Amino acid sequence: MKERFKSYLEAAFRKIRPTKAAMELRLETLTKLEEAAQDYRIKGMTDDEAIYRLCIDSLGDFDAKLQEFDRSLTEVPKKNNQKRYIAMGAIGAVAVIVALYLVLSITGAFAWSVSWLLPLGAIVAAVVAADVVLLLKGFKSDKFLVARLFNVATVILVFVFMYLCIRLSVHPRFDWYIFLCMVPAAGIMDIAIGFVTKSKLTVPEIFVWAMLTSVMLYVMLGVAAVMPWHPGWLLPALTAICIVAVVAVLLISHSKKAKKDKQLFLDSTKNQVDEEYYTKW
Amino acid sequence: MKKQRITAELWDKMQYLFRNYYDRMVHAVLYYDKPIDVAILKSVLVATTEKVPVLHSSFHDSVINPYWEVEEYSISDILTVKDTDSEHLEAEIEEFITQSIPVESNVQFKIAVFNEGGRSVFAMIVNHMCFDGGDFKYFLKRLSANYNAMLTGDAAVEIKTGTRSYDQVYTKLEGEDKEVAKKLYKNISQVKDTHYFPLTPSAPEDKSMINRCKMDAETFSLFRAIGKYYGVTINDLMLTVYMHSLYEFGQYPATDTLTIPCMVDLRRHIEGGEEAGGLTNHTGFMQCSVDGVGATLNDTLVKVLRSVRKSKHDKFMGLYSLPLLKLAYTIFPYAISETAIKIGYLNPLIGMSNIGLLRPELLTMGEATPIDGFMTGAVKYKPYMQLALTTMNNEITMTIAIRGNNDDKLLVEKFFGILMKNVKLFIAENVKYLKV
Repeated sequence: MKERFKSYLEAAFRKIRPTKAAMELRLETLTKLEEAAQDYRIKGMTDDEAIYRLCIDSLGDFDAKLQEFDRSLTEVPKKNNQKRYIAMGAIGAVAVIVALYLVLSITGAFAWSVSWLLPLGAIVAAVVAADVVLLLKGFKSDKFLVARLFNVATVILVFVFMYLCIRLSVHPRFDWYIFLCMVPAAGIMDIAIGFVTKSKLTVPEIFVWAMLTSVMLYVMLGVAAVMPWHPGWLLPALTAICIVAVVAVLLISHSKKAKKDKQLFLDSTKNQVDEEYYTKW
Repeated sequence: MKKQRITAELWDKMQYLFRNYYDRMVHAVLYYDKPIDVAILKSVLVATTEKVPVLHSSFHDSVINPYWEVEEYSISDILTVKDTDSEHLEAEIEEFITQSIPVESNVQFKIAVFNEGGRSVFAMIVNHMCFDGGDFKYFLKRLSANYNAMLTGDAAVEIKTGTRSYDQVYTKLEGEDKEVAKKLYKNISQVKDTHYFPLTPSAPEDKSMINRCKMDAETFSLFRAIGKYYGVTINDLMLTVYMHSLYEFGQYPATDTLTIPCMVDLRRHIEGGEEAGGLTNHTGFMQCSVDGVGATLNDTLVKVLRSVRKSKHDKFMGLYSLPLLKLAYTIFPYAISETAIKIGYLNPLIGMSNIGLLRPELLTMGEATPIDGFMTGAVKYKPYMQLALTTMNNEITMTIAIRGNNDDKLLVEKFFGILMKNVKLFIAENVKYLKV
């Protein structure tokens, strides 16, 4: 069989140039054919001719494949344009931003004390882009831990940037509220990823998020005097009560389901009536 | 006087880490047809031990870098000689080989010679941190050669005494291949296979046991002949029967993917093979994955072959993860690196190790020739288990060394029953081709 495969391959490879790469491919194909023949034999085929035919057929249009292979050797491999474009784009963007920053600052359009936010904004945008890429990669490889941690870090960075922008431009009274909003925002982002990835921790995470959000809201409304501290404290208290109630309902329904499943299992196995019991020994 | 210190090599540390999964002992038992001359054996053992300091050293765990410390010893620490009868022989062998040598001990190997009815049984255990199955075979061969040389008046004892460093595995590789091999950081232990060998839960009364099952010469000869007809190795066939039997015994769903690591002797990558360097560990593993059990054993064999071919075609087989371990031990102090590796390392729940052929003509002791014997790896703690295979005198001895109770013993025996049933079924289904 091996000799027949060799003869076939020798004839086939005569149609292309005798390059080193072709020699390697010929050897590789011979191994592939021998392994295919081995598999057919183990599966029970004994007719050598039939095995040979099946193995050769498994190569498909081999002549066309060889021509394609030979052509690929003569063509100069295309450079990885995508990576080159990304790199060039990144360098261009950095150059534009630096130039813009210098022009705006030197011309006095923006004070030096504010204009530095422009390059910082560009860095934040780059981190957000990296975060998106990491998340997409996480979805592909089914590994989310790094992506989730990075995502939380990104949210924090974005909020710090937002704080700086607001602080240096508008000077509002309660600009630090942004840090209180940061916690629920990071939570909701993570919960969203948890939902998409069907993480088991999503439900408990929602409870924690609800509690934290209500506390943050209570503090913000209290400080801004929109809501009095008393009975405003009822907001987190009621949230806690609601969470406890929901957890209780979930536990009860889970317990009922488990009981039902157990009963179904028993019905289908041990409690099943077998008429043969009376007669069969 | 300050004791001499020996550097703990990468594999010494790794095997020390494995104390969490098994008892770190490697075992061998050889049944001779005549008595062994204990006086000569003592001389050979002392000379050998003197030449290999790690064998008479104690291991010292340290936060920064662990080390071996060379210790004083006497032959009685190593060798025990006992006269026994046929009724108690096996129990005494079992008792001896299932003991564990503490790392703090002054010697790291122990030998017992059991004399019974005009024949001897040679039993040896050694700390896996000193060397693996590959060098254990080498050690036994050298022991025999040195014994025979001493018998004829040649007092020179020869045993390899070179480096124990892990990086000898790159000596056969050249140029770009060597560079690539040194960058194989992929963690191959991270194959999450949750299938386990059904054993009873761990209990304090569990004890070490080495369960054995033999494939007789007639069965083995047919098994091998069928393998030859298909162009597959005994290892491929045993792996097939093993995996097929696991699906049956463990009641795994037929479409589940099962992954089993097979131990690989990395000396294939070393210039000079088993004679090179010093006594140490050079074991890696290749993963064999099947996407479900075949309807027949032949179908399972095709699945196994498709998986193992990938490894067999890989010139870096077994070399993965070594650079990662090296990196961990280099950049962190030992205590941190051990924790880091423990987090990243997933010990396989089920494994297989084909120790290979024990050639009786290379293991003679004067006129005494081994008529039977086996080697096996460490005693695994639940839920881990490993099937070890030794071939000798055209017979295969299968061993499963575990820490368990009588119920576990029965379960293992039941599994051996299924395994042998499948071996015979495979032979019955394929023997017709041998007559063609």
